[in-house]
Amino acid sequence: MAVNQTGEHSWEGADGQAEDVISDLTNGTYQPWIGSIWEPPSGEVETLFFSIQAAVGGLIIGYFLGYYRRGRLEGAS
Amino acid sequence: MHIMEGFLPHPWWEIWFLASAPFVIYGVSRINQMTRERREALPLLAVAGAFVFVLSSLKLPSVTGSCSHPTGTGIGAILFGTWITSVLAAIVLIYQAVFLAHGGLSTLGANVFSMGVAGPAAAYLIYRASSRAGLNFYLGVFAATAVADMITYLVTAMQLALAFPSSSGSVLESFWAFSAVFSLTQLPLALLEGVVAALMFKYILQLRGDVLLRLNVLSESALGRLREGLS
Repeated sequence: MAVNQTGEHSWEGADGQAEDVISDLTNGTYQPWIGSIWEPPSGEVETLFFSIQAAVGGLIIGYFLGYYRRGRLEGAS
Repeated sequence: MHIMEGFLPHPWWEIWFLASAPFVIYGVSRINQMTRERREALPLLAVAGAFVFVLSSLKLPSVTGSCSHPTGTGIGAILFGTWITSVLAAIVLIYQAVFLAHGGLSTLGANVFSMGVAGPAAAYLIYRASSRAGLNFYLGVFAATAVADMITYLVTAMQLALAFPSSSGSVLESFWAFSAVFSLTQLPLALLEGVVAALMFKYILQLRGDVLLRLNVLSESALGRLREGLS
């Protein structure tokens, strides 16, 4: 496991690798007892939702730090 | 690494719901209290929550050739403590479970416990210990955040190991198997997260050091020293 030295990397998520470990430990017998209620229909749609998450977070950080900064500038003048 | 939907069998998913529910419930009441009594800190609460949003959306490639993401909970834990941070983590985890099929609703309790309770509690304790020991403020923030990130993933490995002991019945053996998957992947990301958190605190300190004082993150003398260093 550790560091892959073949030079070939798949850059997959570590979550998927954990599923492989579960499969190894249970000899492939474990089936998830419930599936996701909704899955993004494609990688593009998944990327969309990840981007929305990052964008909303970035906006909030920028907005409130700007709010603090303005308050400080006005306090100084 | 969140535990995927359906990947925690009965009774483990119920147990982790019971373990994390008190933190989230008490955290909500603490947030309500803060909206009444400490309105000046609310922008920081929004920033701490948004920080979790941004960092947990970034799946970063790491040295092992696989990807993982930071947690972003360190800042919230240092500013507001474990209770409130568990609410922030729960919001992000619900979003990812519903819209991204990343993590899951049945495993929400376990994921809130690792990312919202165990990691932030570690960050809080480390930050407090380092500030009491008089260590450098930024170093304390860095260490607390980086360790919180690693603890989150180690607790996830423990949760999976408890639910899936190895064929010989050893929880420890499967803990090593699970933690091997991500510990090396996560280490550079944890260090990176620590650096980002320290920079963020430097900026907050420049803007509103007084709020850090009122939240008891810094003592008056420590704040004075740090301000001298900045000017």
